[in-house]
Amino acid sequence: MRKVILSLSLVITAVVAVPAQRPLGSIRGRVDVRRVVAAPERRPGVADLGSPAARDVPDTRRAVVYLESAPSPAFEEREPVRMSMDQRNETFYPHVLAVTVGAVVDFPNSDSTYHNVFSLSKAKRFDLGRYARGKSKAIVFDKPGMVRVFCDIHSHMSAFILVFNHPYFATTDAEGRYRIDNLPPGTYAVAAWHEGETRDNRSVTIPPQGGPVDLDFDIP
Amino acid sequence: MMRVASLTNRIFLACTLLATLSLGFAFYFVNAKATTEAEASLERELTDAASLVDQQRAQLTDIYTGWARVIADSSTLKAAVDTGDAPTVQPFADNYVKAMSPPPDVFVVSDRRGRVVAVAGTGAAAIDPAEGRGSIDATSRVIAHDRGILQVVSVPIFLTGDPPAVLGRLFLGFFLDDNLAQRLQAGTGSQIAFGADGRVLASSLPDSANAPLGAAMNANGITRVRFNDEEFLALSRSIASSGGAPDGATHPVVITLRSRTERLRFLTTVRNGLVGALILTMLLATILSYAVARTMTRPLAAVTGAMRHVAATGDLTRKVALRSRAWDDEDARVLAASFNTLTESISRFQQEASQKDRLSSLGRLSTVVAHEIRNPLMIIRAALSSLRRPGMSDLELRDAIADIEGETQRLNRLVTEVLDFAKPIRFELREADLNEICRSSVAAAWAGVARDSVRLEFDAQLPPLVTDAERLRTALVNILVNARHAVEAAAPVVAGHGSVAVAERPTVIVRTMQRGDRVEVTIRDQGTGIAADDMAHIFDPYFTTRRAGTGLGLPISRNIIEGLGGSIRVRSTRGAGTDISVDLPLAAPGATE
Repeated sequence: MRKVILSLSLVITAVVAVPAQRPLGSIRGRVDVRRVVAAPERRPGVADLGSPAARDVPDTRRAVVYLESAPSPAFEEREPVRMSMDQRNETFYPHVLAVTVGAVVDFPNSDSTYHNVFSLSKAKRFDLGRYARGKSKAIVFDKPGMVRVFCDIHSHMSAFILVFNHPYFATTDAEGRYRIDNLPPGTYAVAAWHEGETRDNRSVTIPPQGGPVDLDFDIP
Repeated sequence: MMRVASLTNRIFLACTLLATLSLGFAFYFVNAKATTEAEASLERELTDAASLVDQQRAQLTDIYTGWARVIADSSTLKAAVDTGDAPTVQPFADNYVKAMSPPPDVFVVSDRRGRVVAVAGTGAAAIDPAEGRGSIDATSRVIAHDRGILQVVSVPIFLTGDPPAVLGRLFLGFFLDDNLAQRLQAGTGSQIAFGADGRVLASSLPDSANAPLGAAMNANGITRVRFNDEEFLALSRSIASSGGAPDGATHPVVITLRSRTERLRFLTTVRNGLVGALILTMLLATILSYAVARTMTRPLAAVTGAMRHVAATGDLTRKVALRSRAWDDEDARVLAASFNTLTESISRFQQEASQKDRLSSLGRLSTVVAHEIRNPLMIIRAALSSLRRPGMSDLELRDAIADIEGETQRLNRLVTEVLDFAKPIRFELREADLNEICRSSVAAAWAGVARDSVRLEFDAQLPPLVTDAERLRTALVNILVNARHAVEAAAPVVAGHGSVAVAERPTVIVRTMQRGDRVEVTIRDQGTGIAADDMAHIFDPYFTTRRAGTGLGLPISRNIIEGLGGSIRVRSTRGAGTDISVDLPLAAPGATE
């Protein structure tokens, strides 16, 4: 239900008109994910026999901060973005990918085993089929919403791709910091998303003179 | 009352008793042992069956848990559940249910909020999809259901991590229903019932068993249940939920039953066989012991029979006839042989004794004879010397001749009597008329004397008699002569012929009559009678009260009469007369008729 709300809100934001050529502001801050999230225990595979591969730590601390209602310039034509979600050590990397509508996401296979990428999410249903090491397949995310991708060979693999119809979103860095720029002054509803759910909603106002506004999120 | 004193009966009874006791004990022992063993094995089998059922249920639960885990771990299901969209998940559920054989009775998928996103199976309605929400523990629980007991396992659908990301929950379940009860019954040989709170929900038994089974449900240990005219041993075991699932208010149980009646029926067959064998063996033992007893008692009976015969008839020539049979008792055979030897010996001794007796009698006879002979001889010598005397008269001559003649006759009679007594009597049997014999005897006894004192009372219907008429006449003559002498001695006056009135003179009455197959001659005289002291000696040889008697008359008579199979009885009153009865068979022994 929350996902439905999310996608709806993303659509509704399009209606909000924002005056052009105004000084721009930004929202910055930190998303503190309280929950100590450790890397999942990686299942031993046949490929691991003999030489233990270096472990990648899935960045499950990563959160996404986005505007629930975006200013009108957001809907201007943009260059299609191309991004990549790697598959290595039976992990999707990065764990969370935030893209704008129309983005093309590559799913290269860097593992020695076959992988598959599929999703049953409403925002994008797809199945790239299984492919071997070194191969890569891409998919265009043409609808806003949350897409959770899985590998049908490795049931422990999953990742999130958040598709927005505006550019006002940011993925937290390793320290949890984020920054959303180019925001016209005004009042915005800002949401913090973590691991499949919107965890926090805040209202923030960018002053008419613009400039950065600090907004920290605390996710229990 | 049986004659326990009889050897046959004793041996027979002892053997039969022995057979009965030993077989009875054997039967009792075997029966008791078999019954105990049957009961014990029944309980053992029941416990084994209950364990087997438990094991089966646990195994099924494990299998379902395994399935559930495999299904819950599938990426597609995870991806589907993650959407929280029922139409997305349901096809997966349908595919899994189709793939499983047998299809599960419960296949329910709930999302991370505990909402049902896929459902299949007849028992799905009983599931609380919110149960165990967010938990990563697998649970197994039992739910009472109208169709039986629903065994449900639930596993989380989650992505590994710390903490793992729970996407939802998969419930998989199967019914412990009539069908499973019947399959378990086929596998364990025991009747199975599932129930909860005193109510039977499913069983391999007909519905009529439900009420009595419900009562036995809460009992501890093995109980007896009776229904449909059959007694069962029932063992009730509760099925508990596990893995943190709530137990709820119901207490489901599995009841394992085994028919005690059926087991006892088998035992009854065994028992009947045993009883049959017992009766047969006892019968055989009885017959055998009877036969063994017979081998001893048959020769004994032969010996006893021979003894009785000897005792009754005095016939010492009678032998115990023993047909030589290998299985006859050796001791009894020896006894029979000894008896034969004994009778032979007695017979020999008797012959010797009678010979001795005869010889000693002859010795005594010699004295009597010498004395008896001397008197006539003296008279004859005296007569001869008078004959030698010259000039004797005719009268004297006649007297002398008469003397000689008389004494010679006396001597002759003496010799005849002695010979008669001494020599063994040989009878010549032929048919004769007793009345005629009596009549001629009377004529002989009263030869030359008036016979008016004799009265004959003969039975004219007397049948002919087979006897030695001559000997019998001799015997009767001897008795009649005694009677004549007795009446003559009793006559007050020895007068001339016919001088005294008949009525006043003592008489001799000779009477014949038939008594059954015997005839009787009674000689009754009204003579002097016999003195009481003499009575005991009247049959002794050479006992006489007359000067001229030899004392052999009555002994000879008795010899003859007893030799002819008869008997002689004497009754006498001194001064009143004597009554002698001679009793004879119609046919003397030895007669060929």
